[in-house]
Amino acid sequence: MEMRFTFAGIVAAALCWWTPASGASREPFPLGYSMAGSGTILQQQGISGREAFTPACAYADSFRYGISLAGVDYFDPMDNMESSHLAQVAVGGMYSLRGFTAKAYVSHFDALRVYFEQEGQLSVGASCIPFVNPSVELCGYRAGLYQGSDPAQTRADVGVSAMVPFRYAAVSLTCCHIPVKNAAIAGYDTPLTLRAGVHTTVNALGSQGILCEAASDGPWRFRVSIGEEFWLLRKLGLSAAFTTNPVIVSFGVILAWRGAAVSAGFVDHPVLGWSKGLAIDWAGK
Amino acid sequence: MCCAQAKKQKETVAAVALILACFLAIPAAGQSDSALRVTELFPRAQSDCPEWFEITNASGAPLDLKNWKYGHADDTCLISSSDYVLPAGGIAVLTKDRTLFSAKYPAVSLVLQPARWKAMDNYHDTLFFWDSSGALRESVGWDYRWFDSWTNQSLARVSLATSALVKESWVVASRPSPGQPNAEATWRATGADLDIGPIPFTPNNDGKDDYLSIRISLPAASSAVVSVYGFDGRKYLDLPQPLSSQYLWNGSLSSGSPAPVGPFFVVAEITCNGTRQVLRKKGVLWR
Repeated sequence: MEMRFTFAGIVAAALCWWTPASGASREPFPLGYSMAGSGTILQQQGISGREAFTPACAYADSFRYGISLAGVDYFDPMDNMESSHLAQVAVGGMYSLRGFTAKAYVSHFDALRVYFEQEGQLSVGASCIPFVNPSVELCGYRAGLYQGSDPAQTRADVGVSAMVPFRYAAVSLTCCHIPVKNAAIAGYDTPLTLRAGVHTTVNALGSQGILCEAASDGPWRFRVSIGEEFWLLRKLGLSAAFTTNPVIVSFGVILAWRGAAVSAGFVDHPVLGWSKGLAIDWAGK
Repeated sequence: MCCAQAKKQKETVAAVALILACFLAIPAAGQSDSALRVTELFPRAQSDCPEWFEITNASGAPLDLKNWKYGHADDTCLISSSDYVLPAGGIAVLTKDRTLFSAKYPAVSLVLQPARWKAMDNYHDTLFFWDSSGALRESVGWDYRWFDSWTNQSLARVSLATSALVKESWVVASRPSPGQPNAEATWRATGADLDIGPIPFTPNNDGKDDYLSIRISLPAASSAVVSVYGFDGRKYLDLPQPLSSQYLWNGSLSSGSPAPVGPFFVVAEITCNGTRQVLRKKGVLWR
């Protein structure tokens, strides 16, 4: 078992660092299952917990492994280059053993077939420690133009996260984008971000969550998201969220069956329009 | 209360004058030899610049302004008591103080100071122009309520095809151009359009694609706010008002710090006669 864990870790690290790295580093909302709820719905025994795109500390379930796929088409086509999109795809996996969890994903963001960003992340966390589940995230990024002589830029950062589970809710704390390697050009960085959230377990009204975020983007910038997820049937759920600064409204539909889930998310920006996302998660024992 | 009543009364008089002017303008508009056009106005005098307005000979023949008059029906001023020939297509400026005006705009050659100046109202006014035979040749009016951002700029006429008494003919000029053709006439007399380029643009001071050109065309009677948004959905900056036909963005935020690399959006929110139109263009910034 130890060997398998080590091997999984090496594979995840390789995915993170050896692939041509980074996703949209300033994406306005999370991708995957969390898109519809703006990251507010986070349950250690839920889809969000085992999703590869959330920190490893968010997971404490009996599934041993899982994979996640996600794609987002950002904003309306607008009035120029209508056939060229802003889109991102991501693929990741999760592996958990004896209270330790490793998650990794890589993503590719394409803007108008002119510009790309790639991201790889490895998150390692533990759920065997009493009261608090910590995790560490290592992220590598790469961005550039498809054509031209300008070299692609790389950078790296780390983050730490923690989940503090209580009976009816959990508290999440995240400090991410602590720079390890800076890019050589201005404007290609992601500001240090602090995040704190309260996420309820499933109750009679569904699941609720609130997420507060502060980013050191010049002056500190604050965002608040509130979300709700409600399961109409055992296999059909609805999710919605509201986020400030900028104001965005999101909602989505989730179909889940055992360890598998398919979710479609829609996010509306009042000026830039609709973003559409699709995510597939599967976990096994 | 007294001031408010006086202002309201003044506005009512101005409205009546405008209506009357419209009726008076109808026969004038039908006259083919009506060559004189007022093409720019500056009623809001500054300490370094007197009131002025610009006239253009829109005909193909020279126009002698001798004994032409302008003003109101009960208060007219002689433009010139001697021969003053404006060549075909020529542009001249009439001002209250020629010396002060020439100090401000030394390149303008055709400047005329009438012997007596009919003061122009800062907010709303109507002026009529009569030829030497007393026939009405041009009527021009303006009203501060037509414009969202009129402080002390000149008003530029964007269309000679429409009456100078309607707001569709005038825009707040991005910069005054006495004695010169109005730049606004080329981009404020057409339909709404927004164009950006190059894509990608690379503001890294290498001399190549360092600025994003944002080109705008607007109907004359419209107002617009043009903004740049980032991929994270935040507004980076609003372009300065009044808008000009072209703006060069150097890739900085309104705070002066460099904008993040990646996709961005230029959004024009145009309001025209109560209707709202939004034009959105996407681009890519890289350094």
